[in-house]
Amino acid sequence: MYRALMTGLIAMLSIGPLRADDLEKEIDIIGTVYDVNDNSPLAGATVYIEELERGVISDNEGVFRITDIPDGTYTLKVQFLGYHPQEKTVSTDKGNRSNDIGLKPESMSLSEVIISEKSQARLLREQAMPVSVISMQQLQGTVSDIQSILARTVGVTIRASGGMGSTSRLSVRGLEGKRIGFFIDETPMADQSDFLDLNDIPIDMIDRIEIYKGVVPAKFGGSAMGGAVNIVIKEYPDHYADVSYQRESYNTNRFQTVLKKNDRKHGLVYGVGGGFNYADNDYVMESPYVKGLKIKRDHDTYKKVLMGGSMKAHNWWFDEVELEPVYLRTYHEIQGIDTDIRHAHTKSDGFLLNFKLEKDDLFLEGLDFDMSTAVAYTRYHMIDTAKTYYDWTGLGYPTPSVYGGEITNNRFASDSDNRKLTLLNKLYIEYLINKRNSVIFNSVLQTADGRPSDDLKILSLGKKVDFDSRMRSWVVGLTYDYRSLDQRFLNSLTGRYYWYGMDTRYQNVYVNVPSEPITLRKTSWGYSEAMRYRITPGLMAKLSGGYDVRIPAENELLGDGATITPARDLLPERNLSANAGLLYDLTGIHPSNLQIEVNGFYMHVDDMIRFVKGILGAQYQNFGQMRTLGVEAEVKADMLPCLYGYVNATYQDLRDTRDHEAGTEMPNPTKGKRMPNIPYLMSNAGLEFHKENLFGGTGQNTRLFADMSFIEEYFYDFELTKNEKRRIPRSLTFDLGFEHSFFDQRLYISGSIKNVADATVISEYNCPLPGRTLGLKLRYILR
Amino acid sequence: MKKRLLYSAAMLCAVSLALTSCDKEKKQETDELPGGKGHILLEPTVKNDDGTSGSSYLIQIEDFSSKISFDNAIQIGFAATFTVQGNDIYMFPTDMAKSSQTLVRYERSKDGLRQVASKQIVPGSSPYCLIYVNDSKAYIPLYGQGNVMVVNPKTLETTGTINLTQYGFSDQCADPAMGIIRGNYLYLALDQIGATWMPFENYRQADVAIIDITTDQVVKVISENQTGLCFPTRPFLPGMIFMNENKDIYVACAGYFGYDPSYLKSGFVCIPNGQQEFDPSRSWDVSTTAIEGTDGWKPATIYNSAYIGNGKVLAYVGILELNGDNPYTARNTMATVIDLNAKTIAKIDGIPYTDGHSCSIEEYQGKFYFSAYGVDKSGIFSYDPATGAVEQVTSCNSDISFMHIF
Repeated sequence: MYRALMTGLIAMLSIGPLRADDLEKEIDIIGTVYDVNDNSPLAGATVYIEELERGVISDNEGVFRITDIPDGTYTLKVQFLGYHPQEKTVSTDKGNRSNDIGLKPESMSLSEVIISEKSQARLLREQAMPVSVISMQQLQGTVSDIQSILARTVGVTIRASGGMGSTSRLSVRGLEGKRIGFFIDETPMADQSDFLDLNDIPIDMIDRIEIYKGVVPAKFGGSAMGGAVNIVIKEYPDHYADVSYQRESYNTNRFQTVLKKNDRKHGLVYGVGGGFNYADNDYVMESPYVKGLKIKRDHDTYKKVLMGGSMKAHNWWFDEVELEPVYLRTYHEIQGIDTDIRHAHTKSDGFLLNFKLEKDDLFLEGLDFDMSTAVAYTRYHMIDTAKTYYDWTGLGYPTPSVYGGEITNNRFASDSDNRKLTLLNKLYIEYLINKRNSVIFNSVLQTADGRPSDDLKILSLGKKVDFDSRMRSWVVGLTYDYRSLDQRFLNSLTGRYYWYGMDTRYQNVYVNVPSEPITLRKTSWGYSEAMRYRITPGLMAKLSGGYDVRIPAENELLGDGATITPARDLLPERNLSANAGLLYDLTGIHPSNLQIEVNGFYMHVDDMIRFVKGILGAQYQNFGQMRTLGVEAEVKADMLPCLYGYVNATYQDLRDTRDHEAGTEMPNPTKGKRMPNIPYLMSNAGLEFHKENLFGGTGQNTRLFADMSFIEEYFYDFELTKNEKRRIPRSLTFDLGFEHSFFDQRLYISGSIKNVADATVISEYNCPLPGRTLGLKLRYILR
Repeated sequence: MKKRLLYSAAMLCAVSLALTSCDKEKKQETDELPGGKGHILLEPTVKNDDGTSGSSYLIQIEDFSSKISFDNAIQIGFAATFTVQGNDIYMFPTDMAKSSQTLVRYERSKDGLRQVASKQIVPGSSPYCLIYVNDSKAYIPLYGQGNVMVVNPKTLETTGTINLTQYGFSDQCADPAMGIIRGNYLYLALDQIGATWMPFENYRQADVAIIDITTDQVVKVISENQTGLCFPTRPFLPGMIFMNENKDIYVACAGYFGYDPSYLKSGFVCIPNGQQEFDPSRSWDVSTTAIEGTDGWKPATIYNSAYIGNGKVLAYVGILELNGDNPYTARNTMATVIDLNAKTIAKIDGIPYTDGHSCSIEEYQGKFYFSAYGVDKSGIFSYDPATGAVEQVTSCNSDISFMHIF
């Protein structure tokens, strides 16, 4: 836990944005962390103010400085691996006072001293990969959901199709869908994304969000290609309760709670948490099919219950043993856009059990072991049994099948009970050879066994088209990390091996021949290289590249048994990528905390897996070859002690590079054309004003937010004619928000107006999004 | 100072002129009709690798030697279908392909296409063609609803509905497809397909509804249930139901499109002149006849046909041996000449095997033109029935899903 906490802080402080707090007085807390036995300074110790949830890392001389602290008395917590943690109460009423803190080693043996050096290397290794971090401060207390926050990040767009619970895709540098890894505490969740959405995770439970672009670190196991989002769940104080309720337009409600108890005596941490989300999503949209027709969405109700618990043990043989059970239940009506769907809906239940083991210096000093195993059992139901479908004038028509089925053009009824059992084992073993060198072995093993069942669909079609399936995949990697002694140069080289297999059956829906067995076994190799050089304390250059492979996900190959048809010939997608960047970072060096980052990137994707909607249904398909050239830039700074601002822009040029149509000698008519249905120019900007006790009183803090988001118009198809009709229009939206905290950040009231100008926003073709949205949130923290 | 003022004034004039010029150009551009100039109307389709999605365009070209440029093309729904009546072009929406659910009438001239009428349709009702009666009346079969809309072909206003739901086998939709008018009757083929978009296993027959065009009443539904031929006409191809010189109606039946190797029956059924019943003795299952010029290959389906006189039909037929993994992209379609009288089928050499998206056949000044999208050449190929000569007259890097020559 300590290591995780320190890692998080390093990420927040050295890479992520840091905002100056609101101050009436600008008080710094400074000091030195040292070893009580020989008075030697301790570099890399975590110094943390519990009340403000802020912290820093001591420098090479053991010196720390926490700047811009509001008046008050605080508990300073100091931690360093191999040493007993220390707490010290400090008060700012004595000005910039020095606070030297001595730590006592856990053991005085020589080997422990060596471990301490290696521990320092453990902390620093995290800095080898370029990563954008959305810090706790950006998340805390806001009414934004995770997707809205991610969408403001440079190079990231969210492709949503509706309100809460709607299908949405995260796009990083134009690559999207399952190729962008989705992790919670480094555990892959992409295969559960049909059940667990980014927005399902209670925002108040999140410590930070890490967004990796291009090369994804080895610890994520290689199931991502082109990027990854890792949500890091908070570590909590000994006793903690957090309850919040949020209400937004269109009867959108979120209730979330977290309870934690730390039994230090026995080294056990217990926690329970959960949430209930409900939304009518009943906004009015203009029909994309009938000019001038306004439709109130009245069949888009979404309900989700999420409950989870955790038990962590720290005093056992392993440094950390964690058991986490999770339960999810979802109900979602299907909103019609072309026709007025009145009954069709989906239901799902998911049970997840996650077991995690961590131990540093396993049998051998410097050998770190980290293994997690997750088992999930899910049930998914698609219910489409109505025998009449309606147009938007209220006229009813019999469905094509006598068994029902009101979803347009399905021609069959459905009442499915699809069950799936998945298992995921992730193993991470690192050996720190010395302060400069380490090697990492990484393995991710996944199994998925599907049992679809839909008697009504069989009746409608006159045949069975969905079959039991079995999928196995294994990605194994070996990484060599090098760090120069002065930490100026970091390098990480990874090689990976991919294997996957699938067994199922395939039935051609059109013919009356027996179903045929499908057996797939495929392998592939990949590699990646990332390096970073710190030119000056504030200026860093980064260079990375790789050849990544992503094996198709189970539902990409097999469809979903409902609206997505199988694609048994789907090939793994491969990405040759390079990224070069410069980061000028004055965080902690200058009061402005100025950060300027510029990245240029190149990608060449072969057999890119795309989701395409065709005449007879949707399907995942390979797309021959695509090339991306792009540049992104971001500037953020504390412009004034009470005003933080950021602006970023991304230009990504994705082009079709196929010479011929697949399997022919015919020239490709779209060669050189911009890839359709992918944004290419976007920008975000925002300001945050913060002031303590703005309206008088004590222990209060006020924050005001204003954010802007711009996405240039882009085409749904290749742009072949100047009369191209199918466009996703340019969007320019403004959001406003406030947050006010009372009782030293125990009670929060926050509110927001999203899309202030009520602009028409579409991010998926023909799927209008909600307009202006109001939200209010109340949160109470007991600690 | 004076010099600077003069310079500024000159710049202002230059900018004003430029702006005026831009405005004029813009106006000229605006005045230009979309769809291109010419007398050959084409629907190029750029499909995705799966063959079931992509984008389609509508464009006119001057002549066959013209380069097909998309610059001024009108983007339309993927593989949208058309009916042409005089200079009226009726465009039907595509299902499930994110296109507008609007039926549009364009009025064409050699200068371009002008949209003059439109009609919102019920999504899922699936109109694919218009059957013209006169300037105030036309029929639009609704393939997805099992009804026929009666409309004014100029304004597209609905003037009536013919309910065919009672004739649906196993469901309430008889899937009314393409029709032809003989005398005062509309002979409307009913595809009778199930949820798999294919004929029911226990209903392998050809149905035709006979509708009195003076009363819009269904006279009766006739069936040819002796030969096992089914799926009479594809609903957007008028050439699949035709009359010979004797006014005998022939209906081309696609069967199972060659997808089902265990059932390849496809061919022609006939309603002789003067009768309102099939004559099973004139039905012909072409799947049993070897194609001349091949290694004994036989048709597995009929994708399109065009009657050229003297009992001869030009047809695109599907070949089982050419089927690939993907039926939407496989080059499994062969151009043939079918002799209804002699019961022979001959391959037309020189026209490449094409996929199902390029199988248009049109007549112009005594010659016939095939659109084809082969592995190594594609475009439009002319065929002279008198000499049998074939020539590639137009090249195109995409499919041509539809063409019409004015």
